[in-house]
Amino acid sequence: MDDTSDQGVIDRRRAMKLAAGGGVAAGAAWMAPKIEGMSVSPNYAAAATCGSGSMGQIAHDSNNCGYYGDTECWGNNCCGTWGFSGTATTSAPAKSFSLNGGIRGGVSDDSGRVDLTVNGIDPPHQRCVVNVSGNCTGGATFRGGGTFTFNNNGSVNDILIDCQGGGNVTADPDGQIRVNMTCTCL
Amino acid sequence: VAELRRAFPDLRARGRSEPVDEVVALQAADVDGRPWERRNRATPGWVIAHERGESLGLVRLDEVAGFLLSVLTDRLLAIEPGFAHVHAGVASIDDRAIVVPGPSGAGKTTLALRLAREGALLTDEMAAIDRGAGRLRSAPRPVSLKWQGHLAFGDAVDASRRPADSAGWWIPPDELGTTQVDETGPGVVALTERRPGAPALVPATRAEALVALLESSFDVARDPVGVMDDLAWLAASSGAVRIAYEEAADAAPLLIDHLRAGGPDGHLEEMGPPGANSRVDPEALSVILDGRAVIHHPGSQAIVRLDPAGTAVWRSLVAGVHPGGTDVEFVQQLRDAGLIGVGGDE
Repeated sequence: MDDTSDQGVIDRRRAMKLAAGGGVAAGAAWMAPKIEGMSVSPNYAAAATCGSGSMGQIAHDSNNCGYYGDTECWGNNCCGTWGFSGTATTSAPAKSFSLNGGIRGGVSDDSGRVDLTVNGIDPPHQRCVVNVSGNCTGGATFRGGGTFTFNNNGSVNDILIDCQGGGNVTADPDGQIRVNMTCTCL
Repeated sequence: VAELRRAFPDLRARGRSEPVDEVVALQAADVDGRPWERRNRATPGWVIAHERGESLGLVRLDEVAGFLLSVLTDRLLAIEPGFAHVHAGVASIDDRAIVVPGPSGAGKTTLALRLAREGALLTDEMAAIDRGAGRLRSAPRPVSLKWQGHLAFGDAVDASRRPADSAGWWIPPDELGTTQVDETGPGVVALTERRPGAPALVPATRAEALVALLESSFDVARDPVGVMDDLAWLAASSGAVRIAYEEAADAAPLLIDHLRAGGPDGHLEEMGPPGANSRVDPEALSVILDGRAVIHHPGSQAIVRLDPAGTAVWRSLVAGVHPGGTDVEFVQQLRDAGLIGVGGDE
């Protein structure tokens, strides 16, 4: 028998339906062998067989993110918001999850801020993990970011990002922010 | 923080797991007001739970207790791979278990708590089966009492402390008139059915108990062979009873009387690997309990229970012996369920 064939699976499902409808035992003669009951074992450990889905990494570069005059600057032209979005899709079963957000900063800010929102989670069956990281040039050190686990759809705002130190009068440090998400069926 | 301190007085897994100890550390430190970090200024009320610098999750304030317990459950399943875990409420009476397997919302907590008033509570959610020691185990934890469930406990529950927008809340067992133990011996498996009217208790077969345990297993998909062995041991070491009831308070005395009446252990026949000429699918796992076969096919997730005549046929098929005079329709049903191979000359 080919256990992996579609036909095999269909036959088993058909047998389940027969059992559920009482068809399996119907018509059995006295002392005839019988199936007394049929059911399906649970799939609590689906995480072991469900493929995880990761979205492509989103990266943003910041010019002059460190010292901009005497402050730090993140965001488009040191102002405004960089928007980003991405999708992660799991396999078996296929399900898509979205990540949207933005990076805020301004010339008067001492650091940048990341906002992010995750949707597509059907609790308690999936979980998404979003990682915000970064690096800095010009001798500066990146701090902030973090890893955030979503068991429900939701948002996290005001995630600090910062390039500390480095730079000089003529060359301020640059920074790169990376955001990625991995979703898993539970 | 006050609710956490009340709900988690002793969240630990018998000192046998570092990961759970880390959760305890997180909880304990949170009481001191340190590592639980509120970072979402735009949506007050969300908490990011940190554990040694790593984010564990994003949860609402009123879901923190449930979140911690889900972390505990995940960790226990991960760190106790040698144990089968069953989704069940379990009370311990005279150091013997009354196991009530079932899905969420079936009334496990209410019945287990009511039973535990005559003894102690092992768990309202998940029990680990330690076959080597012949015991059932669980980590002490608060119980999850749903709104309708609290009505069974009258004044024992302060309804004013119910979270505003939650279906239930977490309460230490001692506030509900019982104590909690972390292990007990096997006793009886109770198959429950909610229906109006007076409670009715009838004997069940141990094969039915094993099926109910398989249907409530947390890890049968991860380790079908080991879990089958553990659950078959528990079913064979326990009595089996079916009870229909409306109110847990009425069902509990009947179950306790049945437990105390006792009875000999069941006869468990371990099935060896299929014989050389067997037509049985090699993936099919089976045991025979008190003369009835219970078969689990991990690939199709089918659980099949046979009557004694069907069990005799199954025994022959496993051994590779032609059963002779077998009902053709029965064999076809086994084949349809994926339990025997296609093309065999059964």
